Amino acid sequence: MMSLEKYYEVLKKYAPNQGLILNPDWDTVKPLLEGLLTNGERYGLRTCPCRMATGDKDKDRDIVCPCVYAKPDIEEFGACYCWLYVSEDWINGEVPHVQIPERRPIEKILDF
Amino acid sequence: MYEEIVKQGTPLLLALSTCPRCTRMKKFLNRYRVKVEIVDVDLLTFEQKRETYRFLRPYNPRLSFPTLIVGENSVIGEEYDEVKEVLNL
Repeated sequence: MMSLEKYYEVLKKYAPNQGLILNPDWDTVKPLLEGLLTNGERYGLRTCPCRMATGDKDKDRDIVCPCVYAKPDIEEFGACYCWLYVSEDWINGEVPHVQIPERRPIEKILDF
Repeated sequence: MYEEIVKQGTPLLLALSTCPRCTRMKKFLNRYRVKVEIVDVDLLTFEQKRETYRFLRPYNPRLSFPTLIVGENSVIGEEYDEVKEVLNL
């Protein structure tokens, strides 16, 4: 398994290239990366640690991190569903840090 | 199996083993010494997952985690004030 440190380094480089901002709070990020690495080992894809993957790569594709819901959630709420990726306003405290409602369609959740 | 647990009045926490929000909720309940049945749904078999969703849906139509179920009440997500209220902490 890729080490946590290595994965963090990769994401720090990857995020800006994707127009994403990694949450600067290590206490938030660390357990998320651990969950992502676990899912990577388990399913072969690093799926959202806060969502249930099926193990079927086609069905899980939308929740491979960064999930397809990340950008609209960051736009609307300042953070993605699990808070791994956030906006500048979120970091500066200009938007409240709320729980992000589940945007993934229920049909996708139930399809396994 | 869940119906029995809930009927007995035991709080039931449906969680994911990889989810930090769920981990924090487990720690919170542990800190208050709540006797709770915890199920990491991602570690269940395919059939058990199906069964879990069937049970969970009326309490939490979006099927998100963590969900704490206490009798007819449910608390969705890290809403600690609500948890305290339903458990009289």
